[in-house]
Parts: sequence; structure tokens; C-alpha cells
Amino acid sequence: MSGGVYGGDEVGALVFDIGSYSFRAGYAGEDTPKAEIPTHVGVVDDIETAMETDSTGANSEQPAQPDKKYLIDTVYMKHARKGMELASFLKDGMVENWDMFEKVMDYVYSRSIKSEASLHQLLMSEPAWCTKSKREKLTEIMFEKYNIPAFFLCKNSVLSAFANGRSTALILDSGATHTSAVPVYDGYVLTQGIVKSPLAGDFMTVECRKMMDELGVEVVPPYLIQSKEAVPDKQPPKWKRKENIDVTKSFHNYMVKDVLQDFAASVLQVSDTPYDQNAVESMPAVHYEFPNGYNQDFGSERFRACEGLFDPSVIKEAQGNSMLGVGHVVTTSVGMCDIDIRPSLYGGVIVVGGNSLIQGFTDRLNRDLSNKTPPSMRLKIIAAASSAERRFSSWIGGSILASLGSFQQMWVSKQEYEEGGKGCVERKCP
Amino acid sequence: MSGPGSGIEISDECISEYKSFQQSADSGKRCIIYKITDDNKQIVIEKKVDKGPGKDDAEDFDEIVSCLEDKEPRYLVFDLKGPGKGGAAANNRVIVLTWISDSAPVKKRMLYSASFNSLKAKLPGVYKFITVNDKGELTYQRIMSELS
Repeated sequence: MSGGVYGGDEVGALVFDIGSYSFRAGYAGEDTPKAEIPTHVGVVDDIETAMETDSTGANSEQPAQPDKKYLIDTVYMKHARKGMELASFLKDGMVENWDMFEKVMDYVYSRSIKSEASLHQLLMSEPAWCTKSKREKLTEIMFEKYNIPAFFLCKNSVLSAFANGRSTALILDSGATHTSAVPVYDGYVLTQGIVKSPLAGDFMTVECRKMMDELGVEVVPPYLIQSKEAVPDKQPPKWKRKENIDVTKSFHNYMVKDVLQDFAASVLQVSDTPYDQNAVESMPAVHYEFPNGYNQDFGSERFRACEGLFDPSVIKEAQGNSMLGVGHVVTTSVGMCDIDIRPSLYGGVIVVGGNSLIQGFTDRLNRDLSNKTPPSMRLKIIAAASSAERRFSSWIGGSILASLGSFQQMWVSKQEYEEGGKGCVERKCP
Repeated sequence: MSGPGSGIEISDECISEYKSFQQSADSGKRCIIYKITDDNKQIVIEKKVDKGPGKDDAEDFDEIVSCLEDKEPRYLVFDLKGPGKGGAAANNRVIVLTWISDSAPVKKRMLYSASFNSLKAKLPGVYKFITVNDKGELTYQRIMSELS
């Protein structure tokens, strides 16, 4: 194979796909990402660094501010540590804390990819609503700080559409922090039709927590547990608390959320039809054991906790009324697009995102949309069966694109960046 | 700019064949089938199909699409009479059908959908571009319903 401008396929391009729950990174051409690390990072004031700076910086008049130390990836950030706060570098899907973002990038290159940034072209995904200034800043950091040879930014919804064999589609992405509908037409995002709702994975864990409070179930994350004994169904748990654990509220909450996410994935199910106490009581119960050994069957609760995703009127807080349920997110989005293309959007509703893996999600969506789709339009919902394809659809799409020899002409090269400045990303990556 | 895409280009042969197909009143051809080469570099002509003697549009269409496979996406350029308006005789029209089965491997789905824009940009005068992802919808009636 003849080499392209940057030496063709010899040096592997990298693909980074950042979601509100996790950061997926790997080599283009591979089937799944090499690494998936949490988007949340542990932050501690680094006392040692502060003292070092104090003793060496003899000229400085002011007392040194303690440096921040960042703890990245599951092993480090999920380890109980005094004073460690957990925070995300993203806000609304876009990078908010650039310092933290760079620390994560350093980690991904050195520990996940184990290679030099300057050796690999990089394709990154971005949310459909990413602003021009964020894209330009990202481009600048990647070329200036990481010295990458070439860069490409692609909307995650476009990658998902392509990976599902469509250049025109509606991408329904239910992730951790939000559920969004993004219309894509001929490979372009129709920005006027983007609709977002906070009813997503994190909302589900909040609902689960409320339900546990009502049921009087104490959710104890594993970091607090020294030992436990098996107990019969619905009996008080017998477990020993670890001594001398001192953690921040944000750490504790994250770890509780971790348990509830597992609970949601294993127990919850969206009811096929709007929630009806009598109907769901006949459905089989699911047994669940918490980390401290407490265990019980969950019957109608399985369905009640996630009903709010599709019908916000059941959410107890008043704010529930202003939020859009999943079906509504889709119909609102399509309704904001030109009438001529609505049939092709309803004809290709692509469901992606980790929260869409909750049992019964697509069945209920199908039912809710069938009721709302105009009779003249054909509704088709596309949802990959495998959880990897659902969670990593944009990474997989990026992986295929960036591995193509023909994609060489699409990259923003370092030379183009140097000649045209950061604005070239707007021109080459629409 | 052609927008986000694979960078795979359409070959000159595809374009010149399309032009003669589109410009002549009746080229005698029914369909040109395009594919992406195995090295993923170019869109080329896979085959050309003449109009069947004594066969109508629907028969030719059914015969051609019956050869399509789930694992292999294709672009098909058709010469079909659309439904006439207000009793007028129907015109021959060029329809481009993008066939990408939902059960094709993800790499093929990605290649063909991400290359669609470069194809579309190079084929002026197409009456309608239609994408079909399901064998059950690969029918003459379905195509006609999109044209009316």
C-alpha cells in the first residue's frame, strides 16, 4: 500500500471518545477501545509538593499554595483517601476544567496507550452542541502541548449514524448526565433540532436512592465494609465497618452511586406500557444482594424507579414537570426539523448510550413513539444488541474512519494548523 | 467542503458512465451498480445491467435487487419511470438507491454511509436518493411510494 501524506497506515491513529461517564481511548482499526477510564477524577491538595516548593522557593514572599494532585482511573480514584474530592472535567459534555483534562490526557497517553502523543494522529469525538471556542481551545492544546501530527474532530452523533449505516438519522443518546436527540442529515448535524433532557443515568440512580430510603434499605458502598456474613432474605445485614475511614462527601456519593448503577443495571426494567401497579405486580421479581450482604426481592419497585424516564409526571419533585421524557425528546427534536425530512428521521431512530441498556428501554420507546408518530410516517428504531456497540458506537465509528487510507486527506495536519491557526478546525471539521 | 466523510473518492469511470446514462433519453441500461473497492480506496462500477427485453420496470427492479446481499452494501443507479402526475405520461428518472443492510458488518456500514456524500456531490441531476437498510423494504412499491 502506498503511503499517504503522513506515511499511510504505518503509524496507528488514535481515537478518543469522551462521555460524561467514561473516556474511551484506543487505536484506530481495532474493534473496541483499549481503555475505558472514568471521567471523574480524584483531587487532593498535595501537601508534600507544597512543602517542597516552600523550602526551595526561598525567594518567594508568599506562602506556597498547595498543588493539586490528581488521581485518575478506577484503581486510584475509587480508593478511599482522606480529603480526596471526586469531580468531572466535563460540563454539559464539553471540557470545563482544562487543567484536569490535560492531566487525564497525560495519563491516557502514558498509561493506557503507552506511547508518545507526537507519534499518532488523533480523532476525537465531541458533542453535537460543542461551541466554537471549546473546539478551538482543544485543537490548540492538542497541537501546542501534545504536538500531535494531525487532528480531526467529529460529532459523536454523526459517527453513531454512520456506524449504523445511515447518513440521515435521529440519534437518541441516553448517557449518564443527559438524554439527547440529535438529527443528522447527509452527515451534518441539524443544530436547530438538538433536544436535551436531564432524565438519564444519573437521574435513575437518584430515583433508586430515593426508593432505598423509602424502603429503609441502607446502601453501604464496599469501601466501608471490613467483612460481612450471609443473611437470609430481608434480614438485617451482619457486617463490620472498616475503621478509620475518612473520606469526602463527593467520594462517598460517587461510591454509593456506583452500587446503585449496578443495582439499576441488574434489577430495573422499564414497563412496556405506562406504569400500572396491578400489571407490574404480576411480573417476576428479581433478587439483589447489596455489598453489605442485605438481600431481597424487588417486584413492582423494579418498574416504578425508572418510569420517570419516560413519564416525568410521576417524578415527585415539582421540577419533574418541566423535563422531557425520552419519547418526548425524540418527537420534539423531529418537530423542529423541516417537514420534508421528518419521515427519514422517524425511519431511522438510532438508540445509543449506556443508559439505553436498561431492560425494556427500546420496547417502551417503540410504544411511546408509535403513538406519537404521524400515521403517514414509518417508524423504525435501531438499537444494537451488543452492549459494546451501544456504549461505544461513536468510538467504533471513529475507529473505522481514522483507519482508512483515504481519510488521510481529511485530517487537519500540523502544518495546516501552523499556517491557518486554530480556526482551521472549523473549516475542515464541520 | 463535502462534510464529514471517509475521503473515499468516486472513480472517473463511475462519473462518465453516470453521465451517459443520465443524458440519453433511453440508454437501454436499467442500472449501474457501484461498490467500494476491497482496499477501501475508491467507488467503482461493479456491473451494468441492461433493460430486460419485454420486462417492465418492476420486474427488472426485483431481479436486480434480489441479487443484493445482506453482508455487502451497494449503491445502485436506476433508470425508472416514476408515477406520472395528473395522468401525464411518466418520465424516466434517475434514482440512486443506497443499500446498507442493518445486518452488514459495522465496517461496511460505516464505509458506505460515510462515503455517501462524496457520491452525492458527484452525481448531479439525480431525481431522488433513497437509502434502504432492510431487505423487507427493498421493493418496487416502496421506492415508488418515495417518489410520489
